[in-house]
Amino acid sequence: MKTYNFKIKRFNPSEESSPQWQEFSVQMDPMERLLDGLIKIKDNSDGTLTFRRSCAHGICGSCAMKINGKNGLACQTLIKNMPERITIEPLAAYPVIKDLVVDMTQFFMKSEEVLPYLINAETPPERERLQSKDEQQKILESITCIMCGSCTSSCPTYWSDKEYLGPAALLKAYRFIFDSRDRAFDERLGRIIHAQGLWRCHSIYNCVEACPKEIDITGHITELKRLAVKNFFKRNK
Amino acid sequence: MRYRLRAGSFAWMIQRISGVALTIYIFFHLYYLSSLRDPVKFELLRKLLDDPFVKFGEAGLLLLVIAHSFNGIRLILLDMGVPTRMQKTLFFIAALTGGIIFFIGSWPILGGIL
Amino acid sequence: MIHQFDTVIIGSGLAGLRAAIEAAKYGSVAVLTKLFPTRSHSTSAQGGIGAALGNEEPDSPEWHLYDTVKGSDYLGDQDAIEIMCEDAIRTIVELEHLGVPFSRTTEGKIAQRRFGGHTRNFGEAPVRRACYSADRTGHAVLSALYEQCKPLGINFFSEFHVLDIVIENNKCHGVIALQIENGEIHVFNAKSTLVASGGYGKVFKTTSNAFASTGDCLSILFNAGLPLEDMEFFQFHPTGLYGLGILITEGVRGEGGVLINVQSERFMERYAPAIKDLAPRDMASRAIMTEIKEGRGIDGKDYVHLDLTRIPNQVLSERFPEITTFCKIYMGIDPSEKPIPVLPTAHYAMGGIPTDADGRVLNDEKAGVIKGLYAAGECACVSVHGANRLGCNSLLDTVVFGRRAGIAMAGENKNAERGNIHRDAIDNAASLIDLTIKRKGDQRIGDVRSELQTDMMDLCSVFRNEQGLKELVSKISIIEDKAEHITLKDKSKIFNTELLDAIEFGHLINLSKVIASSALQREESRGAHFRDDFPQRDDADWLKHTFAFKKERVVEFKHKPVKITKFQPEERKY
Ligand SMILES: Cc1cc2nc3c(=O)[nH]c(=O)nc-3n(C[C@H](O)[C@H](O)[C@H](O)COP(=O)(O)OP(=O)(O)OC[C@H]3O[C@@H](n4cnc5c(N)ncnc54)[C@H](O)[C@@H]3O)c2cc1C
Ligand code: FES
Repeated sequence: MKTYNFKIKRFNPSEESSPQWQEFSVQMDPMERLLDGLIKIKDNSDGTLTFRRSCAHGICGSCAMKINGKNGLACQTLIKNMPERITIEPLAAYPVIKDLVVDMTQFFMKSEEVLPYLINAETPPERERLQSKDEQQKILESITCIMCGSCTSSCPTYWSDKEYLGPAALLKAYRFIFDSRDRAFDERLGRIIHAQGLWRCHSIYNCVEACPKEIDITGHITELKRLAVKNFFKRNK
Repeated sequence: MRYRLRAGSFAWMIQRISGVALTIYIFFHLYYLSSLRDPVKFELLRKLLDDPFVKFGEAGLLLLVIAHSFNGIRLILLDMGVPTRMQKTLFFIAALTGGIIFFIGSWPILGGIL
Repeated sequence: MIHQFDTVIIGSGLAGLRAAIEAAKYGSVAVLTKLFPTRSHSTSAQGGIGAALGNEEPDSPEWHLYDTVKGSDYLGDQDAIEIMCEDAIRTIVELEHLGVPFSRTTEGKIAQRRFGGHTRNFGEAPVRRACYSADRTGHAVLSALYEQCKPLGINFFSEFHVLDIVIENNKCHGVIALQIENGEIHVFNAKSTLVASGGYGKVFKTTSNAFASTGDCLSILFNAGLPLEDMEFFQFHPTGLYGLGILITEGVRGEGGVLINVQSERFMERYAPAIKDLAPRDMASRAIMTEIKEGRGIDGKDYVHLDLTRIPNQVLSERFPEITTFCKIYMGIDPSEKPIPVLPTAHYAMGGIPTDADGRVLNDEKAGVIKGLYAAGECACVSVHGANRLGCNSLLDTVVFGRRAGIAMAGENKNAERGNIHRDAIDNAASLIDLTIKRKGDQRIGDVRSELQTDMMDLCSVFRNEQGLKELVSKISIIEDKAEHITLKDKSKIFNTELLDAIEFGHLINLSKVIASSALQREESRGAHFRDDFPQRDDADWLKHTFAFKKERVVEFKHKPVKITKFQPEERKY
């Protein structure tokens, strides 16, 4: 057991005018997760501390927050890898509802703009549609996204332009555009090729650093950019 | 909104700042070029070049150009398909070679005063 | 605020969403969920979803049926199991058409792998039956279903916590829910209501289940006088990460991983000579606990090793990327180099809300139904899993019976009147919240909850006996009293998760009581329910389902015969 100092940014906008920092010291076993620490605080010191959590092993995307200046999942951060003083804030760029809980409505809406579902109006075969291993490989990384919001929240372009689609939505677009079974290529591409879409990405790579699933988001976006350019020249030939 | 500064975002910031600075410089540059039509003014400006402050400015200009162009090359390479895991390495390569070229390039400029 | 819908669905896991897609073809649908839809616990399912596609080797629905019946220790209703296994192939193909990114064979078909208890030719040898998307099957299927809900115009109410399901005169009128973000109470009047609220593993200390798996809706219905079926059967998955309970899918043993004890012995060979490490979960969990009890745990401690170093590195990284990451992050172990310490973890609730094969909720052991009330998924008990679920049958259960419930609701809605929830029910819900917030006392939720979870783990997990269960029942009763004295610090209306914790804890206590009492009354050992004092299966007296009813503060039992069609009970050997 070792004592850690949790410095947490607290804010309940309905009752307070500005955020306050509050510190807690917590006894932690080295095997425990940061999330366990937050739960201990909630259970033992201050029941009003508010955060989201569900799966506790990095697959549901509930517990993304800014930990020592970097976005990550509380349930995937082992305490033994942390310094004794830990600063915890809500994800940036989304409105705070309470403490570490942010309003992600806008974030989810962005993904809806890219038609995030498989579209294929052809009569399906009796059995599964065939897809080669290579074709599956193409979308493999993009389907691991858990929509935790870490990426978009870390993107300076998104900070300055809330109309920007953001990395998560572009990744979603990639997931369907490169799915060999999808047939809405043109329409979906049309929905991302605009000033607030694909071309707003300036290859800053913060999203890649932030992604707790280690998805190469910028790489995927770059591939979309190349596709868009190729497509443009094909059209105008 | 503060987020930990990392190679990628640092590079992006340099690119932005150097871009803006170079754009502003271009306008001054064009204005001074107009003095080529007037020998007296030209001589006056040429003398200005011996001023140590201007020399530092010139070195600074070199730095901006190197930073902007090298990072620009880095971005083009990444756009062309160099994998993301290389982005930091590319940044450091750009910084290092840029640094060396700056050093070599600024020697003749600053050599007289240092 | 009052909403009117044709169909209201509680839960946005696989069962809820699959039903929603069906019901939306015929009328308006609202999906209520206390989490954002894709954060539902279905997303954590790793290993696969079963269907006798025969893509990798010959297979048949008949074999699947046999395995499921045998896996259930003959307590599963065979008519329902047959429906599920027959419909499995169509179901998987349909999921593929909806966009699920399954892993593929070299021919481009859906890839399949071995899973515990699934065999070829009535028990001969393991068969490849589990369709998967690496080790993120649940995530892949849940995302695809959620995505397909979008163009159908299904109304999602995310972060709405259901407080009550209103039943009057044997008809369900709809649902009362709390909007977590602002503390407002919403009323949903519906023609039909589907409960798809998932499992309740949080009654145990060590579990693979999510924090949200608290069984709220089962407890609500139980309090309303409805029965709960077969609650004594709770599955412990043999391989949870030691100390954390995070799951390592059975799929790894399907690909060659093995369990070993301190003598480096592959001990499952002794317990299940034919299929060894692919024995069903109840047997594997008992085997592990026996090894530990008999002193063959690793380093004298209470765990054994799961050895994945025998799996080729490429297979490990291609098919189990997520698990490899878990082991590295949480245990600091690279599974391709070193074995992983594991221990059984509370995993799956076989018991639940009794339904017929179309999801209609039964109100007694004689197949009477409640009008307009349906249940599907882990919260329901059809019963296809009987006393022990086979791996990869649960995801199948959720989509097969979710769809069937969706169709049945659409049918019933044609001639049904919309429910009308009365003022007093709404006032009741509001006062429940008020009381919980204002309650004064000297207890804290965290302490009492971990007391309950520890007691359940110690006295009601893999091995049980009369003395322990009796002790447990009285302990729960004390905890119930303590819970009356829990004080909350958070009095705010905005995102009050402490309040939700308190409400959920009430449900956990309620369900623990049902589980413990059900376990106490079943004096035999069957599937996941093992009694030291009655170690044999007793078909003469106990080949029947338990129906638990609430009577004041105690639980009352009735029983229902098991439906047996093709396979007569036999000794269960693997
Ligand atoms: C780690 C793990 C791995 C698994 N792997 C497999 C596998 O490989 N193969 C397999 O077949 N099965 C597997 N299972 C089992 C399977 O995943 C679950 O049984 C199944 O997903 C349950 O789905 P569901 O739709 O019934 O419920 P869930 O997905 O649990 O969803 C429950 C829903 O109900 C909502 N809800 C609950 N209470 C309330 C309330 N009071 N108010 C509002 N909403 C509420 C929740 O928000 C959620 O949306 C696994 C389970 C776990 C835990
Ligand atoms: S709780 Fe699910 S990702 Fe952290």
